Amino acid sequence: MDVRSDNLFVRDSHMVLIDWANPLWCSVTRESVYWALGVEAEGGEPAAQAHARYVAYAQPIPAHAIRGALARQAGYFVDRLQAATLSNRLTAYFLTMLPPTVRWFAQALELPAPPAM
Amino acid sequence: MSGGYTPQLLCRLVLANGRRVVLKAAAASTDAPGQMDWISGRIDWATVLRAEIRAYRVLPMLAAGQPEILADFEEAGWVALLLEDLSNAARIASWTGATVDLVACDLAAMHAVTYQTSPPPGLNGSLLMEPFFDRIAARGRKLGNLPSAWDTPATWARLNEACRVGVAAMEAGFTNVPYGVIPNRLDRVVNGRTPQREYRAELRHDRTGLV
Repeated sequence: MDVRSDNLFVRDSHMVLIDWANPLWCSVTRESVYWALGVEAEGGEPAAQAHARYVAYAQPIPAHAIRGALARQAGYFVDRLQAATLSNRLTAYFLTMLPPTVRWFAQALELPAPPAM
Repeated sequence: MSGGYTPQLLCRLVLANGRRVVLKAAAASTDAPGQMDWISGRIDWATVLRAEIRAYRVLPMLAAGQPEILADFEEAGWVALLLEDLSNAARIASWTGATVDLVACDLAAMHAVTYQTSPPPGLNGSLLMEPFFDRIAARGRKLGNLPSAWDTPATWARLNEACRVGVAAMEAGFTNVPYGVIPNRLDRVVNGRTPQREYRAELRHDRTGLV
């Protein structure tokens, strides 16, 4: 699901998530990584740090699962931006998500740091 | 109302009993009936809204994290959903330590509720897993809408390397990965404080300027 701030409310000190338009029964790692990337993209703490908070409330997630989720997100964003077939609004959103994604991806896979964006 | 990334209609209504609600509606597409093809952009938003309604209905175990669903109906080619108006609920204005922690805790709780359960009937679909890196590598030095700062020989070389590593990471990352999250860590209390208490303390501080 799209767990990001514009879909989140806080009611009685608990989160409420709206826009369940495309829910999938899939990897919780992918979902938690995606949320953490959004935290950094929206001006919060580094994504890896935000994700560590999630892991503190959950079962430890294997490093290869986190690397896989990061690779999937990085590949998805770069592929779509390079293909240049997105709407202007989605392009802007993907460009916001790209820096934290490729930064954490490079760090997790021990690749050279990406260029400044 | 405005916002979101979809062309669905959003209206805030006041019912005869004075209750404020939100109406979300979409007209059936004539160009792409029944389609939800996110790749080509051929999307029938009425079908998308039907999927959202189905998700709320088949995931009652996650109701605590959903808006209250009041009704749904179809009329004259339109699909409509009536749901709780959350305009009085707080938004995530900024990602402070307290808000990150609160969402981290509740997201883990949401995942824990679904731990070791089967997908509910009617909840279809799977994560889009395409040969992203193969396509990126095949395109060569095509910038498209990537940042212009990437258009250097050094960056293209790094991207090639990232494609090689990325394929393997994706394959390993989604194979034999435990789905689960252990529920019994969700009432975790750190130094006598919970994420909810921290969040409320931050709200009080924001309103009063006092710690």
